[in-house]
Amino acid sequence: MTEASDTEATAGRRLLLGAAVVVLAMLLSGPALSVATRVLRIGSVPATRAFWFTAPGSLHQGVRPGTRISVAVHDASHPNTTLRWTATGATGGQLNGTVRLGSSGMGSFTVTTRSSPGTPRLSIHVQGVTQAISVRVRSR
Amino acid sequence: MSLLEAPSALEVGDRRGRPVRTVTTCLVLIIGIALPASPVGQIVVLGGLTMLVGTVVLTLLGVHSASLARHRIYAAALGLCTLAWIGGAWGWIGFSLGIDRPYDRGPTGILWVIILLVLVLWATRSGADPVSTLWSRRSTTPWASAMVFTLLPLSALVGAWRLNAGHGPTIAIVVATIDLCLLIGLLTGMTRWLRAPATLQLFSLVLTLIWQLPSRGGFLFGSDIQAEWFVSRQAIDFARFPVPGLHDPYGGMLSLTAVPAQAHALTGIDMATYFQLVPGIFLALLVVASYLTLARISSPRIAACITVFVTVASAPFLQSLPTITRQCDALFVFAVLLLVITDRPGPVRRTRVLLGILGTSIVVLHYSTSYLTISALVLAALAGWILIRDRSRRLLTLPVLGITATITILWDAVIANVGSSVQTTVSTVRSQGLQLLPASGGFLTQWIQGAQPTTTVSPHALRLLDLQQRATRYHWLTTFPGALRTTLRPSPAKSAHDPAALSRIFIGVSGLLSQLLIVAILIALALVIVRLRHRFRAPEFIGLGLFALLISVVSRLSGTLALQFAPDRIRGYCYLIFSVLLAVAAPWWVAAFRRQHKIIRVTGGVLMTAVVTVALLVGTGLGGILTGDGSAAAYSTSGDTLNRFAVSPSDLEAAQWIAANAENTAVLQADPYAGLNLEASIRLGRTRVVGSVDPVLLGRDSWIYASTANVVAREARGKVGNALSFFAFPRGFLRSHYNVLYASGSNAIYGSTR
Repeated sequence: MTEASDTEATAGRRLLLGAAVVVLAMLLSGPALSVATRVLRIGSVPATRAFWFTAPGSLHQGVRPGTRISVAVHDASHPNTTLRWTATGATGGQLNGTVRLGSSGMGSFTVTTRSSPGTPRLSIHVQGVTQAISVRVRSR
Repeated sequence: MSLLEAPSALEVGDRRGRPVRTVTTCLVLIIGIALPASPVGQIVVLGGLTMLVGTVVLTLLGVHSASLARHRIYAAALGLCTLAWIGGAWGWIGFSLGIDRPYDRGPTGILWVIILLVLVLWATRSGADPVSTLWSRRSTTPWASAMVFTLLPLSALVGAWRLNAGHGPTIAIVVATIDLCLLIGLLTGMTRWLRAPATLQLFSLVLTLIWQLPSRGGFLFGSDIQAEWFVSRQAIDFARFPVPGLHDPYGGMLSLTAVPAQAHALTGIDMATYFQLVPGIFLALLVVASYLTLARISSPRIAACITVFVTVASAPFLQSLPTITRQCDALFVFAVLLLVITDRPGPVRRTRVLLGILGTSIVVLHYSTSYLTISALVLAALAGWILIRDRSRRLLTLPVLGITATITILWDAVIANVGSSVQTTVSTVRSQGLQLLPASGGFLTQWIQGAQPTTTVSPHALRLLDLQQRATRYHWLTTFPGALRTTLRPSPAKSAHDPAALSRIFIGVSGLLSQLLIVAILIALALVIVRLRHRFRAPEFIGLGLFALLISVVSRLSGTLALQFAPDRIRGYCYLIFSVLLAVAAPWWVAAFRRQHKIIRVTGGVLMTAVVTVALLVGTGLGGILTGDGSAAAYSTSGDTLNRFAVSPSDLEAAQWIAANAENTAVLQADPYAGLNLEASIRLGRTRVVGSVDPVLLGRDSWIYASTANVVAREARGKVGNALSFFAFPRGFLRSHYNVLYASGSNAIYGSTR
């Protein structure tokens, strides 16, 4: 075998090795980026602060995955009534429920945000009211 | 070895034999397309496809530059153009052939796998190995240097993302400082020990500065980039070209439709990431192309100094252009077109074809750059016809110009439908004239500042202007009577509009430099015309220079045109041409300087370094940190620029909630900070929008959108004509007069519940 063909064979092997490394990198880079995101703290969302909204309407808030959120509902003009609520982005997908307001018009329910990766988001709708109510949310 | 060595010679041309590299590249790309989305897969497929198709086109054209660096730049530009044309054609022909959604992953993936297999077959049968022309037989760059210049841009992203996640600016500032030191080291020769080619260093260092900005806020940073994202989403949603409902200039740009839609289909890249990263790469390549152009007519050191000082350190380059992505692509192709005129990389006829491809591709990438390019090329051709006596050497012939102009006109008229915007400009100029020199100040001052400088006024003055607006432009709004009793309180933010003393010095030096630069450009143009016209290797630049001078003066001095086009963008275009003229004249000045006494030479050298450093400090925004102003968006979590241009994912969600829930007849109101978010998600121009949250202009039935800047920073902005003011967001008034329809920690939507 000549020196030229030896060199050519070496170059060919290097090329194949390089291609294999590239394909391997394509396979592994997704998980590697997830790890890097956590280590470098470049993907975290700041903790939820207390906030409120007036129904009818909806609520979106970036919260950490798996956060338990207490929602306080207040409708002073309709004490002792029952409201329906819907939460999207909670554990178990879309959740529905009812909340019974006490004699002071206060009630509460609790939801936990989905723990899967991705942009965590909680959306809550409170229905069945003819008049505006306030909803106060505080993460635990 | 000199740091600023001339671009290395291309060792091989179109190698014939076993096309191992081309075949391997095609097979790796096919695997990359077939695999699930991953970051490296996205880099390999997008980068690999661009360079592969570019070098294949170069091989088919028979064009080979004598320099590897220039050959790679040609391949990158042609790759972008080819991807745009193939994508546009596929979106149109595929749909016409009965494929419902040509831009979906299946059809686009199959198309490209077929193209790659055809390339494998062609390479195997012809023996051509175009990919090998992109490789150097021996790389002289040490691994450590290569790692430094690879990691720097990535570190810039980490710095920006950490700021978005609420962490401090330390990484962003450290990375920018290192970058600036390396850039000055490159120009002064102090980083020679790194032994990396100047092209690699320039690309990496500029990309680092560019990537700091577009991802700030968490979504996309900037004004135009929001609308560009919207158009690309529409292209993906409809998955064909032309995009239904977008028969306008934005919908007609393949840089916003076919190219990103293909990228999404082949790699799964989401559009926010695409616009944060990809156009910045082309903008950094533009700098490399400009450097290579100047290095053909001047020394590498002079070329680097002029490129950095004129292009990189100019106000629009780092602050505006990274957020106007369509112009990044088009300007890059235009910069390569200038390189082709200077370099003449192949036989004249083939070089003419190359120029034709680049010229016609600009129109599908960005319509307004194409108008400028056609006009510039006409004057360049005239200069060529006058100064190049040998007809066979002329590059810009009638067929080249004719074909480029015809395709430009046809595309703009039929696909991009630019007629209405041109008509608007023409009718405005007809009715108002050019309004030359409308502001105070001299000729040079207005050239530098532009014809429509914004003036900051007090909240009280803004209120008076808003009351005038209510009586005239917004007379149809039904407002609350009690609003008249309110006052606009000053913004709670510290006065960021009163610069520190050192900052004033920086701004003053920067302004002086701009004036000196303009004088230098005028002298260089005169010198080239009077003394060097027959010795200059590309006399077409005399025509290009005259055109750039004309358009630069008109765009910056005409009040009418300044409102229609952003003068800064035209400046970015013109300065690519001006820098070539400066490079032609620079050796004369350098020779004269070298004849001076040593003390003068040393002092001049130190002064020049200081001047470039100040220009870069101002251009990058690092100067603000040094002076204590600290309001540059790339290093801060607050400030007017950030409030105005940063859009976070929660801003976008809230705006999309309005798009989904507000009736089409509802009047939407938002201050200029928040208005940008509405533009991103629902296209501001298509709904009734009032761009003010001053209580005297709030309609009873309006929906009011509040962004992060309004809710968290509690700042609002008001703008009437050129008058700008900052005031505290009127949260109390909104809470007492409206219901909160939507709220999160950072956004609110107020409205009536009737």
